[in-house]
Amino acid sequence: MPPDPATRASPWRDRRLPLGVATLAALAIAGLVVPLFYGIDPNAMPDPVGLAWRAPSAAHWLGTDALGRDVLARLLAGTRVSLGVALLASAVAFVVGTLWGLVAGWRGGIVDTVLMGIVDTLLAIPRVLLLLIILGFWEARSALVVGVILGLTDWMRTSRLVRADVRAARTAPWIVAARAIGASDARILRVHLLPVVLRQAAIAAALAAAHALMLEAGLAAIGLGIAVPQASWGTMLVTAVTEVSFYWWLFAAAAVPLFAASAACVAISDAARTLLDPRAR
Amino acid sequence: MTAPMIDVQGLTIRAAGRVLVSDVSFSVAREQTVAIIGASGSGKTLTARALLDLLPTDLSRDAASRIVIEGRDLGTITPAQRPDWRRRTFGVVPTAVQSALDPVRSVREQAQLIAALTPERHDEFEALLATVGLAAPARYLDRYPHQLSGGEAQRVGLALALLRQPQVLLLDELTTALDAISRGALLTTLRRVREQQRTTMLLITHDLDVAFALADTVLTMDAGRMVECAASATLRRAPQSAATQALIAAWPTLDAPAQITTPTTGPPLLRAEALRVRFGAVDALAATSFTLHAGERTAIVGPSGSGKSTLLRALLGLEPRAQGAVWFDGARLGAARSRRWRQQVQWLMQHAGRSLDPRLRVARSLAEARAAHDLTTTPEQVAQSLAAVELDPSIADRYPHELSTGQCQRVAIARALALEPRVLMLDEPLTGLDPVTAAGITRLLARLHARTGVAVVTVLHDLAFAPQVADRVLVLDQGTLVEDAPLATIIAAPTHPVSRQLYDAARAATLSAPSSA
Amino acid sequence: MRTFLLRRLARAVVVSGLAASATFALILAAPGDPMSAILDAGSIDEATREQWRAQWALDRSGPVRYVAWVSAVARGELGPSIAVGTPVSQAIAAALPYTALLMGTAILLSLVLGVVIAVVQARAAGRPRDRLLNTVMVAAVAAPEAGVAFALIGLVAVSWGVLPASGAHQIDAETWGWGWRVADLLTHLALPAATLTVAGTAVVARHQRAALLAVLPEDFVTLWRARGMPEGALWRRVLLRHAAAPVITLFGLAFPALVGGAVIVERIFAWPGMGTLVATGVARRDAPLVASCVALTALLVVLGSTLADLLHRTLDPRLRDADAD
Repeated sequence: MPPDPATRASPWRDRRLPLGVATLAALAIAGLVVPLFYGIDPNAMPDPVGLAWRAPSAAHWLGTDALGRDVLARLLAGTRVSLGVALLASAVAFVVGTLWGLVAGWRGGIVDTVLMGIVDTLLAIPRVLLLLIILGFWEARSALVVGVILGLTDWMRTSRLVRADVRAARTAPWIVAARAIGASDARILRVHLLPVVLRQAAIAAALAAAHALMLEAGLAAIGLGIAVPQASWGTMLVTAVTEVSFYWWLFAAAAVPLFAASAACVAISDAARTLLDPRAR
Repeated sequence: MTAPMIDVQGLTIRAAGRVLVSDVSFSVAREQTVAIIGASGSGKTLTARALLDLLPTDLSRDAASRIVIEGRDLGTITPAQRPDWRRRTFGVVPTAVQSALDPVRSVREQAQLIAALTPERHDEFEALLATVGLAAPARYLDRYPHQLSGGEAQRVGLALALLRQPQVLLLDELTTALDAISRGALLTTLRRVREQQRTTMLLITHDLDVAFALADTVLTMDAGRMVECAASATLRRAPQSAATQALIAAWPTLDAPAQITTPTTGPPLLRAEALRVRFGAVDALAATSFTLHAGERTAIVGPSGSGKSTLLRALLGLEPRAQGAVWFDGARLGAARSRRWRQQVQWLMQHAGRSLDPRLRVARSLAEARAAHDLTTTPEQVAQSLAAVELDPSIADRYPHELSTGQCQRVAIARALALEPRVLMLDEPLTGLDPVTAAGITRLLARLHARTGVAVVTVLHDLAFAPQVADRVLVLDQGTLVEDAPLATIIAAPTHPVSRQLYDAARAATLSAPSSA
Repeated sequence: MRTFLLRRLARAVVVSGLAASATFALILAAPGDPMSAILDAGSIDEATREQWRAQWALDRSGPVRYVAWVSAVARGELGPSIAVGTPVSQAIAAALPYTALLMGTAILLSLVLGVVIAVVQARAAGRPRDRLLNTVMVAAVAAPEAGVAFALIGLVAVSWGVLPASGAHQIDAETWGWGWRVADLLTHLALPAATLTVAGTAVVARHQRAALLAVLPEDFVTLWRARGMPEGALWRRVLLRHAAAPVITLFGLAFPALVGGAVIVERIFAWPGMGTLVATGVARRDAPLVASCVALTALLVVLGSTLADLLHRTLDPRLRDADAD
């Protein structure tokens, strides 16, 4: 028996979506608004040696780092940077991947072979390796550069997923019917395919953001992160652990928001998967 | 009086507040055959699943319901004991058996797995395949379900169910999607099986001819309730409930209704010459020629695989491998049909519900068809379209998966008619529908034809429906057009053997035939 | 079948060649002088350096060096590694076993744990146990590799001092007996493998759970139950077989990592594998080394996906009739 339309679930009932969005919003707002009130300069080093590695105190709520800088201030600055990088990477991966996969899947034939051949070749190079090589071009890496490069190394997966969806849709019965009714190719693309494509790309974009956040930290760990003295979650994270010491406050300050943002992106991606298919509601 | 094999008392099934099956009671004696008939959605399959204790997880059986099988109350069987109990008691052939067979195991592997479940007794499977009517059974052992035709899958499913010599054989819509010839053959098989194995049979079907031919007792279900229960002959002769009467009235007879003769003089609307489709070395459709006049109603019939759908698709320009020429309104059509042509000739594919984009609501789908031809659509027009196919305007807001099969058919018809075409081509629109729904569709088509004068070409899987939808019949066999005659001729004096075969099968399936015990 | 394999082989060679060449070009195009890197590496004597300079045209232009490398590959050699000071093949042979060990352990553990968790979740679908595990898996997949690595180092190695945080052996391990050396290797393996397994398990578990939940409501599952198949056998023989697709695909995707390694984790833990080797090569602009590693990895990417496709076909006969590729 077909389901009763009255029992359609609202998209907001899936708690993952509002939770994820709220988390990201909270982090973004904190990064943008709080520094207006919290006066300490993230790059100020009044006493590099004397104030180094202080645990949280009344003067420095989250302690200080290796050069005596206030961790909370750096955290807030880092929030803007890291979220910005993730957003940029996600946007680049979304746009490039969607267009690439759409063209390849829709045209088929030689166009598809060439486009996907390029994708396959790029995918054959491990992503981190590609990042190593390309990021090596710059001596001083700004957040912008890191964000764009992260995006340019992540679009391939999106394009594959989009292409697969487009190819499957081409033989879907409702597309065949639409052609038989006389709908033009452009119309079919716009009305029937674009929602499918955007769904796939949105899921991938959310994941791309999560990966970008994680990789930013990873790159910092191997010395290819955003150039110092810029603060970001990743650069803060890697300075917190040395051979002999574990500066837990610095680690937590960076790890908690990084983890929360990454988890929020994953949750949004998961929710998007069920959200955009009316049958699953 | 021995205890009945199956005894059901007050079965009620609920789902999230809705009552799906309400207070159903019946019993089946040993070696008896009982048929449950009813329209789609009346709760027949749910009742059967309740007997197996296999309801979907979001449904529940009321505590007051009592089901006793072979003397054991279902409530006393623990979850751990259930698989064993099911193994020993039932043989099941579910609806749409082809998709219910394990798709990654060959026929032989499935049989072996089932045999392994009950090591102590199993027949020779190959002999069983022969019993269910598969010629050269060894051929089927290594095939996979997707390599079987519909009829073959039904028979394999039946053989697998009989493998453990079950006490109760539960058959859910065994014959529904089959054409009349296959249906008749399967009926003979079931009789033979029943004789040899002396099983108790519970048949769920909306094929009345099968029910009355096989069953000793027939139950009618309607909207979750059991509305009538009587001996098969009694029920057929004098149905008491409105539901049973509706089912019997809807069952096709071969008596033609008042003919609407359409003028077949003058220039033809659609003309095909030497239309041919070749797949590799095989002719799916051999050189075929015929003409269609404006307002004419034609049926295309033939056994499975005779090329009916292929012919339709070739006419529509949807078959890239088609050769030959097609003329419309005197003008020769190119391989790529023009947009204007596509507006004038509309097509309903098999399983019309699939032709609706699952992400679009009904109103949007209707508007889309018109938008493809640069026509705008107002909500009033949508409501009008739906009313024309006898659907409530609230349907406009629904998604396709929220519609029943019959409703999907009507929406598809509405969409086709929204463009005011001159020809409507329907590919097996009645297959799989229960008699009442099917009758509704044929009546709708008749009314629409009378009002708009659109020419209708219908591919049918069963000649029995032809009188309701056509004045002229084209008979295909293995890709060749073997007969092209008015309906009256096909019924009174079919010339080709295949036509005669189709007619005999359709005649046997009508309820006027005496039932053989 | 044969055409399928031949086409895949051809594709492997083409992709591998293209990827390696692209890498070569990128490395050469990057700013920075390889000669200064060599001058740093004091382990190579002047005579050898002169010989290599001549042989490998190190002071010549990019395309010349590329041709030199390609002709070397055609001869069966991979050239010297200016970054490490030994022939590339020797460097790879030394690093490969470490990476294979680390990645092999991580992949195996991830697959096994992931499937087990997915089955537990699918059997309890929708109930508290499933929801809890879901949250844990989301956390595990969202945890950044570097974060997990540093957390483990910080807690287990530095604060508690239980397991070592870097390298593959103790400095003086060479003098120990065989058994102790294996134990030492395993203690060094523990943290990096654990880091990789966290994310790996989560990815496998999430995909596998989705596949299982998609199969559970299918008609043929109900029919097997109706035929009296016990739950245990149902899961073992029917459900896992039908839901094996994600595991096979993920294995195919992870396959090249057996050779490519995980650069970040290897560098953080100073694990002497392919990842560290390649990172060093990039830093020192060692085009032959990096290109050779990429070629090898690319070959395995195609090999991995081919293996996965073959396994898919074996398990699902419906794919066999469909067109290859």
